[in-house]
Amino acid sequence: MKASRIEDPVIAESPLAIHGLTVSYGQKPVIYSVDFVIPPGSLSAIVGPNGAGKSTLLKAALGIKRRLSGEVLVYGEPYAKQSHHVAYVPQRSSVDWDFPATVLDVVVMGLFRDLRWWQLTRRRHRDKAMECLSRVGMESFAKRQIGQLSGGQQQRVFLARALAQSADLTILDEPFAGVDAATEKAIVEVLKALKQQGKTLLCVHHDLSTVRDYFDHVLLLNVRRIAAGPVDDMFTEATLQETYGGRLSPLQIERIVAPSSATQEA
Amino acid sequence: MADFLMLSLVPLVVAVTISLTCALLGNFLVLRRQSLIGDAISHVALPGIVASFLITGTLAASAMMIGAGVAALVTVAMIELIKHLGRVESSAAMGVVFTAIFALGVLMLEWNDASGVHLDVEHALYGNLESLIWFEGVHWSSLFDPKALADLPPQLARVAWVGLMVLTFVVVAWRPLVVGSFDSAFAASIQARPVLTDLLLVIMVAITAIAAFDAVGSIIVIAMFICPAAAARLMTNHLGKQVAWSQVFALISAVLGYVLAGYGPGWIGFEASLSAAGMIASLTGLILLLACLFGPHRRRDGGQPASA
Amino acid sequence: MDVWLRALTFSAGYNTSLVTLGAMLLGASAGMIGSFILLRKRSLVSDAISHATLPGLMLAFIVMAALFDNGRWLPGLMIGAGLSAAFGLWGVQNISERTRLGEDAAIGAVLSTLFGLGVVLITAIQAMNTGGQAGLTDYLVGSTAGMLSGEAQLIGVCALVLLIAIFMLRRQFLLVCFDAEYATTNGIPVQRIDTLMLMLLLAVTVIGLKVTGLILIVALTIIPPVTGRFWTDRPLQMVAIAAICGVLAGYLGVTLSSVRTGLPTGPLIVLSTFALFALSLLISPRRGIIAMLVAHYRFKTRVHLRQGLLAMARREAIYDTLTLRVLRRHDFIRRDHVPTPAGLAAARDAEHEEQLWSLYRSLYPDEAAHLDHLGLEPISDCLPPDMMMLLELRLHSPLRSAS
Repeated sequence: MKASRIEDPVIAESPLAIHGLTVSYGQKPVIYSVDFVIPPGSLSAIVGPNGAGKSTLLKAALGIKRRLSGEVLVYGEPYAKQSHHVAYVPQRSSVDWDFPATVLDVVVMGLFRDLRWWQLTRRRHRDKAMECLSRVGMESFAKRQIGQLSGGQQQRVFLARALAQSADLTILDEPFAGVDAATEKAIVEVLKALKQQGKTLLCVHHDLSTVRDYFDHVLLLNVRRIAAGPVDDMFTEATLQETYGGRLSPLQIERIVAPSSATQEA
Repeated sequence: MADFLMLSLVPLVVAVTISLTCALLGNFLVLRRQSLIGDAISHVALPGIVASFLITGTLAASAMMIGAGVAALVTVAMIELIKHLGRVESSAAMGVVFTAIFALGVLMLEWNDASGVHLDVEHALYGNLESLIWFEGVHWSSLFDPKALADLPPQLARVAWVGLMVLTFVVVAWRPLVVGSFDSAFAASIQARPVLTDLLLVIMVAITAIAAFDAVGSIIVIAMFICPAAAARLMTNHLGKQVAWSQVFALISAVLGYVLAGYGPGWIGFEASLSAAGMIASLTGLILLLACLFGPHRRRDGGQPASA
Repeated sequence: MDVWLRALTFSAGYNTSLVTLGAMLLGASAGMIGSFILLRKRSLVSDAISHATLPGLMLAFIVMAALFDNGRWLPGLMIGAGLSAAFGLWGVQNISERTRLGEDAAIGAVLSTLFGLGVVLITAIQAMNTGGQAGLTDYLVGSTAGMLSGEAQLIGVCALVLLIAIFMLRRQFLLVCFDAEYATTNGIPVQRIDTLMLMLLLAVTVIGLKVTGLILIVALTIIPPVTGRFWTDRPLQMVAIAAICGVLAGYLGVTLSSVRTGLPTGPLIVLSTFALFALSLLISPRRGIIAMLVAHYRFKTRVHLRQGLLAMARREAIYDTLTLRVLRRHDFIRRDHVPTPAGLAAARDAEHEEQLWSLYRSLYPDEAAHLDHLGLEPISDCLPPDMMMLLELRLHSPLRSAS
């Protein structure tokens, strides 16, 4: 077989290494030639304006979307071989919440790999799912029909499903979009706890004011990679200006990049 | 009673089997909002059969099945092609393809005057359930007589095999089907092969539609793909129970529809029988109507924010 | 051939000419109203409407046969068909709005159930044994062979009236199709216009029953609009193209059917419009398959070429086989993947361009965002010369850019 980048130890250990990734709709590229390597054990954000290709980047990395060029490696191997290391939380709005299923049913979907077709869902599967639900504070909703949940509760259920997968890398698409403050806090706590356990997390994030509080690494994306690296080094006035162009006023940017301690004092 | 064995048993069993099979698959079509793919595929069975007759010159079951199968595959492939490469919205793409192929079928039929050989548009649409006569079924003992059983109309065995196959498919592929129907992006990420599952589902729909076509016509198939599952959705919020309800509804409409069509006119003093396929389709629609009016879960839940 | 020619030039007799004209008018109105329905993303509603005409047709026949002894009076059949189609439409609307079922399930349920009911009524009519029932199943696939001139006139006049009505209402329809919410806030009665649109669709369906049959009339309201979409991005142009496509289909279909006795009109009309569609799908320069595949392939090779050159400039190893093939084709690398002198020069240029682009992006983020460029085009084609000069100067004197 052809030589590959796996020989590079940084790439081989990285939960997700993307090189030269281009995805297009027709002749319109959604993301163009993006390079991005996630350090193990990091909590990373992908940040950029609407239409910057954030969700597309995730979908292309997971092989859900066809890529025009580029390479994606999960722990140094193609995704298809390594998918058991990865849990994916799609955008909440991408599914039909009117589906006839209970909260517990959805979380049990995260155990898909552990169940062969002839096996019924057993006690221990349900216990595992309940445990995941309690980690997101939703255990009392287990029997609830999913259509009856609020947006924040739906997002927690999705997170619980990802927890059930016991993955090393969890990829979340806009986990904080349209959720209440309590849910946002709960989700951040779960993410930080996972990081404590040495897991790696990658979120598409749209709220610039919380990037510094929640994340340690960041990818600024606007079709191209603008900057990537530790939040302290890369989440600056200059990179934000370049990412968002005129969509953010200088005052807004100043407020965003100010260290979080300053905002707390204010 | 011998009349029942000879004239009614086989059509009844065929109608029930087809109805149950269609309703089973219909659950997933309705949940995926793909109900109309059954409609499209049922319409193209006729052109497939006509084409195979023109090519092979026979009306042998195997040739007809292959012809209809090819037509179904061509239809699905064309819909996907027009949808993705032509960037046409999916229901419009479906409408373009199945009407054109159906038109081609009707044209071939009239052009070659194949209408002489019990192939005609009316037959294709509403089948001929009543013609499935079991001549050897003269007495209850015939049910255990191998010689008499060998004389059963071949449609019965065909329909039974297809039913068994679909049942096996749904049981084996239950989890990928459910996960893929609910959240296909997630299904792709856990390698549950949503695209393959989707394709297999469509193939199952096509096989069912084709097997049913000869015996019961396409209209009952379309009705059974949609109405029982849709009605069942309005009865419960639990997928397993929904499937069970859909089977109950399918059974009721098949049996009751057959009986009403055959004996109903007699009860009000007419000496004639009505189309059983049409009656079954009408009844399943009636059940759906009742479910729309009174089903306990007929409305959307609306995502009311309960306290967190 | 001779017969067809005579039909094409409207010299095959009064009746044939009349039917041809009627079918053309019908094609135009079906294409136009279908365009608005397509823009509203509800194409298959017409499938439900057309199937739902069957029980009405049959009931009208039964009633008229019982009362006047003649069930085949076309206006009466049309009224019956219209009423039951309206009932079907009402059913689709109510099921998809008031229950949790989607519009697809509503359409499928209504069309199959009402069609089933129609079939039951057909068998009932056959059992009744009244006269004149022979032509009834013609309504399934259409027949213009035995059409009376009065009937052809009726169809033609109705189609003309509909055509005028649709033409007059086109702007309101467009507003609703484009942005229903915006239209609502502007005080436009969206609900009423939507209903009007569907009513016109229903009318077209009913008028077309006799010509194409109830299964195939659907095609006339879907295929021409989809064809129109391939040639333009402007909605009213699309409506016009769809109308022309419908006219052509009616013209070709009816004249072709006169070539041989017993040829059904409906399928020929539908296949004519499908032929126009297939042609557009293939060769349309803006959305056609051939144009798109070529453009996509070109774009893909450009991306790979650029990425390959940049990798060469940065002395990174290249693993992607397509990139290697593209570079090889341009003679930028040798067979053993060692860069050629030309390749090195091209790589240097590419790197230089890339630096200019990225400098431009960091200096002028706002303008760069508006430009919507990718850095695949030569930068000097995208920016004015004075800007190029400035960028070159900045690039070569990093001290000044730091200020």
